[in-house]
Amino acid sequence: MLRDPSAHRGTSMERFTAAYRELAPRVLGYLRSHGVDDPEAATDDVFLALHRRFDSIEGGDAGVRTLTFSIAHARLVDYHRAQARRPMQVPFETHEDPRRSASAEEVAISMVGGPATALLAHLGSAQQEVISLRVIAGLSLEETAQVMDRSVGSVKQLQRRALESMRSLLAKETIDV
Amino acid sequence: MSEFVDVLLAESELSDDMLLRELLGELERETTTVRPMPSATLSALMSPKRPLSARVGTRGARRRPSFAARSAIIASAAVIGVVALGAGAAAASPATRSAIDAGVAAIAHLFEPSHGLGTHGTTKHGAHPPETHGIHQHLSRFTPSDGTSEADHASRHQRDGSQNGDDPNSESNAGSGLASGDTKSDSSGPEASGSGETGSGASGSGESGSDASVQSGDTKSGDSHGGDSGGDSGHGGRGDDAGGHATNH
Repeated sequence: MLRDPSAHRGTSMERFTAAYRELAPRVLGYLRSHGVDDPEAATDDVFLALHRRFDSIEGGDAGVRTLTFSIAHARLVDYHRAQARRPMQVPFETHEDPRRSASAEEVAISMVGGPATALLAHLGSAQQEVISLRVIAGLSLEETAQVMDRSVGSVKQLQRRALESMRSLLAKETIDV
Repeated sequence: MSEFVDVLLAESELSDDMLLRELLGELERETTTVRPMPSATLSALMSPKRPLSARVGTRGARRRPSFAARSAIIASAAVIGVVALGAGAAAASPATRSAIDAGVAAIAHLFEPSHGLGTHGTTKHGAHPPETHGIHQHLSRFTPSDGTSEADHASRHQRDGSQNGDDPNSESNAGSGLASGDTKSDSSGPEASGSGETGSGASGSGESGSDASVQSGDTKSGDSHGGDSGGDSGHGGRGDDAGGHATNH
């Protein structure tokens, strides 16, 4: 299901490059939407791990995509576990400082993370995971179930509830506006 | 609109919800517009490797030395080897050094002009050119003996040389094997006759005797002169006669 036609032929390095070109933005968006501190470094880690196992992947393009987001999901779980073990950090609350002004980086980040991503943050973690894997990663129902290590029925139920929540949130926001 | 969103809405039986469709489309567009920059490690994995020739070119290929350089190296090695051999010989025992000196002298004698000219001389008796000794030896090998040996001729020449002081060859004759053959015939007659028994052996001893006389010059050792006279007699095929003459004298 990779869109790059060179992913279907060529050497291992060419196929890996095509997979990176196709999947890296989605992996980055998946990790960013789940609040990873350094999503680009995490994306690099995902593809380095993928490269070590790239020649032994079975299932064609769908297998590459499933394995890629399986690794990304594992990295995400590790990240959240590490965050839970880490001692609580009290950052300098710049948003409460009236003397601040938005930097160029903050402006760029605010442009990337739009209202749709903010709406996703209102969902539960499992629902958020299903929606991000289906919409951002582009996985099928079965692939999502494989990545999340759940049954297809469970994933289907989660996605239906997530969509209803989003619709209700959107309707509420529209009413507020 | 992405096909993923359409499939998701169809599975959830929400295909007609345009607001939700637009929201999910916006979510996909927001999260996938940024393309990450691969790290250096990842870039190295994805970049094609440089060809081997390019890497070799950057390192600087080792070139084979030219023919002149190789020749110079070989010549240097040969010179060093010869010098080392000479140094080793110089450091050897005195016996070895003397043997080397004798060999060098023998080789030097081969290149002396008198040695080559003497073999082609034509004089028989009377006044002797400087190469008389060699000529005399040469002729005595092929001239049939008339009852007198070379020792007689040598003694006669010796006497003539001593009487004729203005003879330019007298001095060289006195130092040559002819003059010394006289003295030798007295002292080592039996040795001369013994060497004359075998023709080839006599000729060999005669050659060495003449060489020794040329080298030693004034010393005139008895053995070498005895070899000289014996060689002459042997070549003449009358070694016994020569020995007899020698003993009679």
